[in-house]
Amino acid sequence: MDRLTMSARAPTQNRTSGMAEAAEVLAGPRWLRAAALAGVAVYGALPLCATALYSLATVWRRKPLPDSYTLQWWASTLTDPVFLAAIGRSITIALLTVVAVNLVVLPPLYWSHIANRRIRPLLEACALIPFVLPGVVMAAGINRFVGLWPLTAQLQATPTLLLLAIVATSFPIYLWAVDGSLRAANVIALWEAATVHGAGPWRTLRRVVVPSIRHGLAAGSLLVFASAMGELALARLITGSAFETLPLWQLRQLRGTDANPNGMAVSSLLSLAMLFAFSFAIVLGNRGRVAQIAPTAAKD
Amino acid sequence: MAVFENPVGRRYGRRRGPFARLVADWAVVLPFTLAIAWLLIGPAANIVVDSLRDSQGDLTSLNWRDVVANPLTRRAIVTSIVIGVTIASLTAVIGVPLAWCVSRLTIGNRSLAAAALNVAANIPATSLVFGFAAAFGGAGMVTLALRTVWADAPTLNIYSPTGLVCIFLYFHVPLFALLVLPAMGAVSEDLWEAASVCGAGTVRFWWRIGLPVLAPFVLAGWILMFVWAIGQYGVPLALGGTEATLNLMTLRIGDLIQSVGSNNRFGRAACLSLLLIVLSVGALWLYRSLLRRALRWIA
Repeated sequence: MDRLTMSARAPTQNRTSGMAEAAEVLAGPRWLRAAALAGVAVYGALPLCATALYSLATVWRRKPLPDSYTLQWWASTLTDPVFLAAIGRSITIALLTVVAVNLVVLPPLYWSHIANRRIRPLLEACALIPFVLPGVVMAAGINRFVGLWPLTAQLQATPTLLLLAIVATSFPIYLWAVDGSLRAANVIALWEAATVHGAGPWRTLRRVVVPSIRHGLAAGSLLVFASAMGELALARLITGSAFETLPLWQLRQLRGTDANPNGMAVSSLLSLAMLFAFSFAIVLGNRGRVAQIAPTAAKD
Repeated sequence: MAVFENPVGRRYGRRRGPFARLVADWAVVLPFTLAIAWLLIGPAANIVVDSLRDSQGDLTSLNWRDVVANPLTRRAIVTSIVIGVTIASLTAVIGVPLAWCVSRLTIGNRSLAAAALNVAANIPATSLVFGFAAAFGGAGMVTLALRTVWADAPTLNIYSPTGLVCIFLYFHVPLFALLVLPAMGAVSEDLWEAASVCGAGTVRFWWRIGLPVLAPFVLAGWILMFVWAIGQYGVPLALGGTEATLNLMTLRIGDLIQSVGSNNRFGRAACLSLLLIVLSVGALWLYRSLLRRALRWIA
């Protein structure tokens, strides 16, 4: 499994000088590679720059740059009660999702490593479902299915159901990130050592395993938080405008009759800043590794 | 095999019956399994049932006939698949050289590049669409800048299928690059040295060794990109896709669920959903069998 994790290790480290030369020839001209990366970086940065300028522009007509700059959009958006309510809902949902995913996924994953290996295929198979099924299909299916019985029908179109749906569809990314770090921490050896010293399995999890996989837990939780914050399909089809989350608010700024592109730019920059902070935190915290983003076929 | 013993039983030093053992082994996975069964498996199974039922609950094939007969849904299916194939192919063509360049960076730079790719791969749909409109739209920054040097510069209509492809590429290419990045190590210096000792040039090396080693990974990535592209809902929605401009399966499903009045709309939505499920599951099966073969090369 670990072989397909996003690794920042060099393909061959400690090369001899002959190998270094071979590597240089194999890799291709340095200037060409640098130019390609620079081109991609510029293309990637253009929409972000335009968004940043939009959030600061007074008027922007017929010139490549805004006429003049102002902080008024930042002030008005950050004090807009509707926007603050939307971002509050999104943060609440995302935090609850992180808590729920940790509570529901970590224990069986830990158990699959130390006690019952047959849980693993089950966890992996379940993680593939939301990985391939489009969000719009999940949203349609969940809302319909819950409405089949009187007992659960009252959940239909509620924020609770939205939370449950987001938990069920965002856990795979957590599972893969934490699974990799459990293996890297050699959890079986940790558990055996702790057992010899008389600790039970749950005490071991709390006192030994969780501290030693904290980077993996943090990476998984951040990824789940970010994906829950950006969830659009489920929010639109399960609750709709009755429970306006940040993406739904943004959608209204983009398309609605009261569209507000400058406010949209401000909120967009906030989302992007969060994403940048999370991505770089994960990479730095994991010593250069980005968490695994897809399942592998290796059976182990 | 000490690992597989039940630690609870060992701790208290007594043997347990088979039932108690079963509970101890599986109880911890129960909440997870129930949640998945209720929130993922049940709804997916219900989609199959819904697609074959009319509003009274009787068995019917009318939904499927409606989906096939209605030019709107038929076109949506075709458009979705064409866009999926286009995105997957363009992504592979751009993504492989990109992943190669990133894989040959020094360690520190590679981490930064991977983090940047991760940002682009996870960018929220609304932010992305707004950023594209602000940069490449009719009154966008790049468009305006182009106009100052070339008055009749052609503009990209981001609300057209071409525009959709450009926007999809923005996050599909980084996703693909991150997926195939580990595979780039399989084309190693050892292989290159062995090949050049045997007299192979660069072209011959790539044609006979490099590309065959990478091919299964690239193909597996192609399949995943296809699945993700046909399942996209956020970006087309944020673009304001209507029946006339952007007609995709996912948008049709969303419209059918939210529209009121039209008959057997849930049935038709279920048919389209089932089509997406079948395409995705088939692709996933291909993806896993391909990767299983490909992993032989990463020791």
